[in-house]
Amino acid sequence: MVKHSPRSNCLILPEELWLEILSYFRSTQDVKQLSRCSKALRSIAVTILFKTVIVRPFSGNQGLFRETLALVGLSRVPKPQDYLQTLTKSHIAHIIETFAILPSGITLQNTHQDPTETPVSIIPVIDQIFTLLLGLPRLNRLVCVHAALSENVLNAIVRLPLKQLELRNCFLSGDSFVGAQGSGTLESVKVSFASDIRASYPARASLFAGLFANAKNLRSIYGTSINDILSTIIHTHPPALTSLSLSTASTTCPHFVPALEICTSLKFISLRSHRSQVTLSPRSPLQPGSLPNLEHYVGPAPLIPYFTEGRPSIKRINLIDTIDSNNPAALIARVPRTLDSFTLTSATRAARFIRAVHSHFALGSLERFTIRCEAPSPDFHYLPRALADSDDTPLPSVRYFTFRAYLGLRPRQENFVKGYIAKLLMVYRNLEEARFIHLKDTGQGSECVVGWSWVWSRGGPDSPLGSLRFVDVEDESYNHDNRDSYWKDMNPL
Amino acid sequence: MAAPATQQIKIRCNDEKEFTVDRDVLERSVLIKNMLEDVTEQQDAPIPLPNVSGPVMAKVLEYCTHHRGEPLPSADTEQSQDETRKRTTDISEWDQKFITVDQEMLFEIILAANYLDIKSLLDVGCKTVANMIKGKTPEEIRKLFNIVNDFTPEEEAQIKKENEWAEDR
Repeated sequence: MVKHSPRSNCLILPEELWLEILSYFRSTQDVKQLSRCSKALRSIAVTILFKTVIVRPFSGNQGLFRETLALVGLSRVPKPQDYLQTLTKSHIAHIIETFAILPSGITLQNTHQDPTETPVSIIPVIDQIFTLLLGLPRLNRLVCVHAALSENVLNAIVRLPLKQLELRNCFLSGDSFVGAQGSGTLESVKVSFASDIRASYPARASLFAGLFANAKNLRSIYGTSINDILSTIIHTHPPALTSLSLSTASTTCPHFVPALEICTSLKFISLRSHRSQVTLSPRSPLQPGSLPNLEHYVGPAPLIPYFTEGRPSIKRINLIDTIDSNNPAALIARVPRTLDSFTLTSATRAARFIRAVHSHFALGSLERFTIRCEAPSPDFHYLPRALADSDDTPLPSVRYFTFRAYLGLRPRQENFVKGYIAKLLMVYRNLEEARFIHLKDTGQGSECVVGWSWVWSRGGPDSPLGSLRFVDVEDESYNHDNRDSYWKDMNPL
Repeated sequence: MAAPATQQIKIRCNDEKEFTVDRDVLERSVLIKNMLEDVTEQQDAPIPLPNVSGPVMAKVLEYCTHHRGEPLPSADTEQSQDETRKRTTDISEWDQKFITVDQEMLFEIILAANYLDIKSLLDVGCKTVANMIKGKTPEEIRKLFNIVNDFTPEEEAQIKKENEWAEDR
């Protein structure tokens, strides 16, 4: 413990060091408490507290909404629009970088989830909020979930100088929207609609045309409206696009091949969808030499050859929807042996895939092997079986192994994990690190979240058995939506 | 040309206190490491450190000596580890014992670590202050750090209300 000194004064620390200290707080509550100590600490803490502002105008209770709005700088505000005008003149307006309009039960980390209650969109209020956004000089990220967006709002969104835009499950209320010219500042776009039928096609297309116009900085696109996105790419040629994630992907879309051939800077492509909606045969092969920089493919197995043959730049593959394949060996055989990283996801028949992977990469250079099973099923049993079957084909190149599944264990069942490790070391003889990530069943359909994990590392020559560490992430900043970046941060697998 | 590991370097603090230290210990400080690399010939004159006092430097050297030989974070890995590092406020047993000092010294060590660019020591100091604050009320924090409450009652009420608007994220 630190000894107290009557003369000490923490205010000798400059602001930059206080911000460093505040970065260790997991809870906003501690920052709030500190901000109430003195004016000097308040001025530092507000930059953390109000960098992101969330409003929840969907309750249908206008009185509650007005009260919420009044909390920033004004004690009595008769109407939201009065508040909106005043906020743009307050000191907080210069701090806000992220603005989010969310239904109750939705946070910035789980925007993909359904709200706990059906949101009642209040279009006039949303319109007024967007008037406010024009007065936030540092705003660079906008997140809007389950909101009904009028033509006025769409025009405002397109013109805002944003870097990141996320519109999740929104409704477009008009069909005569004509896309304005984009601000040209966008770097990342995530757009999905509550119903692609309900959102009329012309409005969607106009929105994308507006967003992608002048999009010289656009690096990342995620979306569900594959036709609109791909046709807009063809028309706007975003020169810096490196990441393209398409959900409900239909590869027979006529724009699929032409759009990809334009994306010469693309490094990452993800094609995820419900299996029933996937069409796996693009209309034509890609031109030789197209996608020259593609490094990472995430998608179904049958498209592996499509994205790997003649493409030596591919270093990482995340294979999803493996359930369909009756012949894993034939599919894996087409994966380049020069791969650095291979991930099997939703692998319900993973044992056969694992054997195929071992056999295929026995002479290769695969360094990172990850198995991800997202559903709360007892499929973890396949790993020991598959490893036992693979004793004859060790993979000396694998140095990092991750097994992410519903392990069916209670926390701290160390011996069970040690059994896994013993088997792993027979197959992956040069293994440096292994992670066993346990998924918890949330009780909501097939949804799983990480509960805890075990991390094994070989350690130095003095500890040939390595060290095993238990990590409980239940109360961490971890959640379903950021899990990839979370574990990447923990260990860049 | 790289100097031998046993080379002794002299430093002089702002109270004229001088230390003669092994080069590899001093090179825990990126500031000093860069200074030494810029000097091509061996110099006898001590390196002046105008922002650090003798007693604080003695503590910093105690830390650097204990952690000598450990790999320094490289510039490119530092950023990727940033988020991970911030998630945990765990401090190793030795570091905890080392940082058990009075508050004045604690803040001086943090300032010195920042000036000398010793990232791991700065982390230990910042984590310690963060751990001291966590879970405390404003009044408890004021008492802990001798902070004077300069808010009017109206301002306090206003801030409390404003803070309700800031969500966890």
